[in-house]
Amino acid sequence: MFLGETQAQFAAVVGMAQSQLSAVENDAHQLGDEGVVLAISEHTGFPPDFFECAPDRPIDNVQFRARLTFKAADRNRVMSCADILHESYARMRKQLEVLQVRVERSVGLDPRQAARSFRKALLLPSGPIPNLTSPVERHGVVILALPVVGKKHDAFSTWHMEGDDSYPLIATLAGSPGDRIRWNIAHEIGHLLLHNGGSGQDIEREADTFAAELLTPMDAMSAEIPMRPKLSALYAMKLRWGVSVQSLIRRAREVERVTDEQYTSLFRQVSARGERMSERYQITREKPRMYRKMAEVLYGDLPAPGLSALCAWTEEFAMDVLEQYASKSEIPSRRVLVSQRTSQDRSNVVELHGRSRRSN
Amino acid sequence: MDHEEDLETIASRILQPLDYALTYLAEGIEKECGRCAADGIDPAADPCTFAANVRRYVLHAMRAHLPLPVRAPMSPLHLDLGPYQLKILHADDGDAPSPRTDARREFYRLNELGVMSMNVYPATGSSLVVISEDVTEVLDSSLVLVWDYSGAELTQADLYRPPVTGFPGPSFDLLAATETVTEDDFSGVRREGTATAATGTDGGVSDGGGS
Repeated sequence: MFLGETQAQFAAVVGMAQSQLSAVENDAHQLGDEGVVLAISEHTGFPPDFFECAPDRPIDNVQFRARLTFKAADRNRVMSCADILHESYARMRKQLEVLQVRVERSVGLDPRQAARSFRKALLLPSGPIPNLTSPVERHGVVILALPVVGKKHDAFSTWHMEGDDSYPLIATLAGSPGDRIRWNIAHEIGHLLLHNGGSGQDIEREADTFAAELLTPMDAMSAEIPMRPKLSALYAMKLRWGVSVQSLIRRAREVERVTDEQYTSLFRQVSARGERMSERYQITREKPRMYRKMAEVLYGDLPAPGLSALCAWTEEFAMDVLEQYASKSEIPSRRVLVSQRTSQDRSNVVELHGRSRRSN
Repeated sequence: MDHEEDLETIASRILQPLDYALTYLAEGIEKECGRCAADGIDPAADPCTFAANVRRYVLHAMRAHLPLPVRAPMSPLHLDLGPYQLKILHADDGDAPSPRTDARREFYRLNELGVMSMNVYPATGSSLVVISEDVTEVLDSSLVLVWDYSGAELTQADLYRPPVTGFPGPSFDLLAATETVTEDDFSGVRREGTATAATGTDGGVSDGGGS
């Protein structure tokens, strides 16, 4: 489970030997004792039925950012939650027609080239990407937003195999600011496209290069970052491009708008403001929509009871899960000038403002 | 000079902060109306207080997203957008408030003098304003976003470049000239076997971003 407890702590609470719990976790032993099941149910808040279902195929071959520093206990906590959520996703998927996967691997391609191709494939605008999550989901990438907070790690990805079917899957952890979520998704797409498993600093660097080029293309940065930019100018750019000011400082060095000394100085200023971990000016947090949409198609506009019944969850947990995803009213929107709207904008107009004052 | 066209160009350059302003003005008006209703107050009884409370809400909401300078509580909202200085003001009888104070006269004066700045892109360093067209100079402008409401609804949001004379000058109607578009709601997701011929142009699958 993802309670953040060690196996020993959990076993002690529910009255099992640790070895027995370990065997159960490894599928080598069934939970037979009704009293133990009830104790586990009480401790975890999940109904007994949940523990009597055989688990589906877990997510494997995941690519964690900086996995070498990921403690086993943290990894287990995150993966348990991911497996539970993915299981629910897979159960809903079996009952639905879902969007086709329309992203292709480009293993070995230069990350910058791959990012530029990906932008084209998704028909993203040439400037800032107003919302990254939605077009990525539209192209069949499954984004699971986990209701657990990551300590050092906040995303991972894999190509999940399900029989002959396979689909790209990204999981994000809660608690990250909006710019970080966008970066994580871009970074994980880099892994999904460029890498075939594996780990190490080289592939992390490649995924970062992909993310930087996807979110802040080099050409645009060359044109937009002024020479010797002040931090205030970079904060303004942060708002426009939806990335952290720290990534823009790195970009400023890459397009040679700052010297090494100025680069260091800008980072010192960020540190002096206490903003290395949490910067000022919020980027709106992008919530994925697809998972909740699937639940709504199956169970209506208030899908928590149906989802909890499907997965033998408590309704409270189902609500926690659904909260991570955009509801109908949270579907991202933006204002465009009527004279400059694109054909896609035209199909998604939800509101044409009228004016009562001048219509008289 | 065709000011109407110019204001549309300017609006396109500063659309992101304008979007925030219009969104939070609409929210602020709705919340303030709700508060008045809860307290049994007629919103029309004290329009100045109503407008001030909306302004305070907008300031608070926008501060999370935009670098707004700290100003006196009763000062109008002022956004520094590089070559454009934008004040957000409650409408005065449907138009931009006349320049009755020295500060406002000074603010409006820039347009009266028609000062051409040396804002050679991207020297301002203020990337909230995107000047991607093939231009080398941008006219500095004092702009006013004039808003008004009726009931709990934002009914006016006009962008003005006001002259210092009493004449309010041309304006650009943001509510009429803009639309809110949403991302797709994945209409391609449906129960197995419920697809019909009519769903062949479904936005979720075949649109995929407009193809």
